[in-house]
Amino acid sequence: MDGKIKIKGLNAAYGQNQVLFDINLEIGKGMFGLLGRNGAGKSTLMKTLVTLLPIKNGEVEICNIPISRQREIRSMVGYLPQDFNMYPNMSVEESLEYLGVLSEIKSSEIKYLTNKVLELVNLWQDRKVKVKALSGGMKRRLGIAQAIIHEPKVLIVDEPTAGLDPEERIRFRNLLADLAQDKIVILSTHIVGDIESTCNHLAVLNHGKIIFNGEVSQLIAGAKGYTYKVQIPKNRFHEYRNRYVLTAQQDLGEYIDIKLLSKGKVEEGFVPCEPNIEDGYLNLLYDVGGVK
Amino acid sequence: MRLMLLEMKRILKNPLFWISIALIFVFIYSQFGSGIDISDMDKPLPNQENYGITQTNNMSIIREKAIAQLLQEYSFNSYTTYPYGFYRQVELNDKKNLQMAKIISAISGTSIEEIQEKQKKQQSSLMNGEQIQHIIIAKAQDSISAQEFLDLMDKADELLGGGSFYSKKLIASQFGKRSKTYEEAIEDYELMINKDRVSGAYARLFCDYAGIIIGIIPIFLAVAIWFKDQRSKCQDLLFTRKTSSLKFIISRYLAMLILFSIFLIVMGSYYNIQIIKEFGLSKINPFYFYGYILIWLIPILAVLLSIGTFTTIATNSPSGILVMMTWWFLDVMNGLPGIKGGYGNSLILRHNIVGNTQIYLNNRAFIFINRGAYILFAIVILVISMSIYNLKREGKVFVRGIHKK
Repeated sequence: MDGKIKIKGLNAAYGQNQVLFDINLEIGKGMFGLLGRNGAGKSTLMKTLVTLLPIKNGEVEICNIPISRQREIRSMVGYLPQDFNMYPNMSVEESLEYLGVLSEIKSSEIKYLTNKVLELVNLWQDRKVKVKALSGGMKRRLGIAQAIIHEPKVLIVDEPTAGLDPEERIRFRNLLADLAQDKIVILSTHIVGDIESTCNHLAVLNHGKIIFNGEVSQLIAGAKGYTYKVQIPKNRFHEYRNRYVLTAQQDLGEYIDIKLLSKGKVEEGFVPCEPNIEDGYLNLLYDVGGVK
Repeated sequence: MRLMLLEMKRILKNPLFWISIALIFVFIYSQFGSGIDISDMDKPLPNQENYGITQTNNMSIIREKAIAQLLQEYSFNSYTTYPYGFYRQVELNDKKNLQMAKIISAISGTSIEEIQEKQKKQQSSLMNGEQIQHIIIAKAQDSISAQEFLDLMDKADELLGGGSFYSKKLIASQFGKRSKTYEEAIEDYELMINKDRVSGAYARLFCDYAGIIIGIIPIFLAVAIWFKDQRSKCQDLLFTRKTSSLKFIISRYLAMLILFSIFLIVMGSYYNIQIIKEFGLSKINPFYFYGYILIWLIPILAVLLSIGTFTTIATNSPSGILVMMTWWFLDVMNGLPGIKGGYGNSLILRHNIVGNTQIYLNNRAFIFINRGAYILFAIVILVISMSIYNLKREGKVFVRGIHKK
């Protein structure tokens, strides 16, 4: 597959309320993470890419097709919304057939493609089950199936793992990683772990602005030299929490092991350690004044 | 085509569709009966007690009856009106009573004082009602022109607050009724046999009943089908598919239209077969029933379903039910005076009789224009619905929570 998603100077708004500010991104094949807190503008960006929201100004191209050519864009983009739902009384199979027809898949291919995606997302056995009877994880898998049934070049998934149990979450990430072999997959999430285990590239959105765009390793590297571990008595926990950005903690009874970010003086007992993506992410937010 | 078939499948699985069908069936069956009444096609014989009622445009008859009725009501100062179909008894105050006396005076050429005097006598039973009427009606016949008469009666209607039978719109249908003569009955019979080929006469009655019920029931399904997208929270999924709004809306719309039409055709066929059995193929036209369903009833469905589609898309609410209930009520009530062949501008055309073929023939061109206009209206409404749907897909309009952050 050739082509990229190119976003230049994108601004988007809900009525008078501007939500995205001068977004510039270039996203190629593979898994791309979009990280940010709730309300950062991730869903707005996703909706803009799937033509659900108009752009105020700027340029967006998907595989060399400008976003204004909506029909073409819709045929090459698969979308799993944050709040995925389908008619509750439809079965899994009927839902896929219906949405497949709406995607204008040829009649001769619908059955084949339905079966293919059902097997891919491991819902073949449950194809006759009604949507209202699906568990959260199964429903999310149906969401992926409907998003890829028309074989799109781009897959956009918005907060896909929220509410899933750990096993389902891992299974889901693996599924997305498989799909990213030959597609552009954009994974929007506020769960840092989802990005760490699947994406090489990511962007971080904060208050509608891109504050980081690069490789995961670069994000992590940003926290290098500022990440420490220290064991403190439990009664001093609040003092440390007010003074530093804590990125992890482990209760050891009378003591607590904490991992923190410190850009100022290094106190006695602080042991430098290797940062992970969460440290990198919090360090980034710290830099822009997002966390204290 | 495939999308339309899928929509049909969805509708057929929807209990509301079957409830709608059951209600339509029960209504038509209860009104039209289990079979056709073949006595309606009996040839009239001389010296029958009556040959039914017919409508006349003879102003002399209309005038006589209308004045008689107005005098009767004036003398008791008690008028019956039906504004928007609701019964209302009107009693005029002194000022309006005087104005009414002036109108009667103008119509009859009798002085106001004389008319007021007669009202007093009537109320104190010094003179019976018939005597008063004879005196005034006799004077009224040639005192003013027909147009002046109609204008004055229309003023009387205004004075009563509207909804009376004296209005220009209703006066002829209410007071133009008279008994048919034998010759007229024979003429009507000949028209049913030769022009209607029997089938047409029954088909009009079928359409009269069916029109009433399909003028309201299918709106519930139309609204429910569109509203379900929102209630199931799957609009974003539908919005982002490749299919155009045109194809999507038309497929869903036609699916509903075709399914309801099929039911009407099946039910019409039930009566059509009975007609064939009773009268034989040579005397009837087996296609008339389907022609009437197509021209008389389908426009009703077309409008109703387009209103359901439009209101639900535009407002994300079931407001279409309220819109259509209001429309239906006003339409049915307005149609009551011309129940046996009054067509007007109504969506629901009335012809509640086997016969009166001449009235139908006289109005046939108008009926075609009426039906054509409603089909055009339905198309316009659908085009607007598509535009709004498109704007919603592109996030350019925000209707009640769609794309709400």
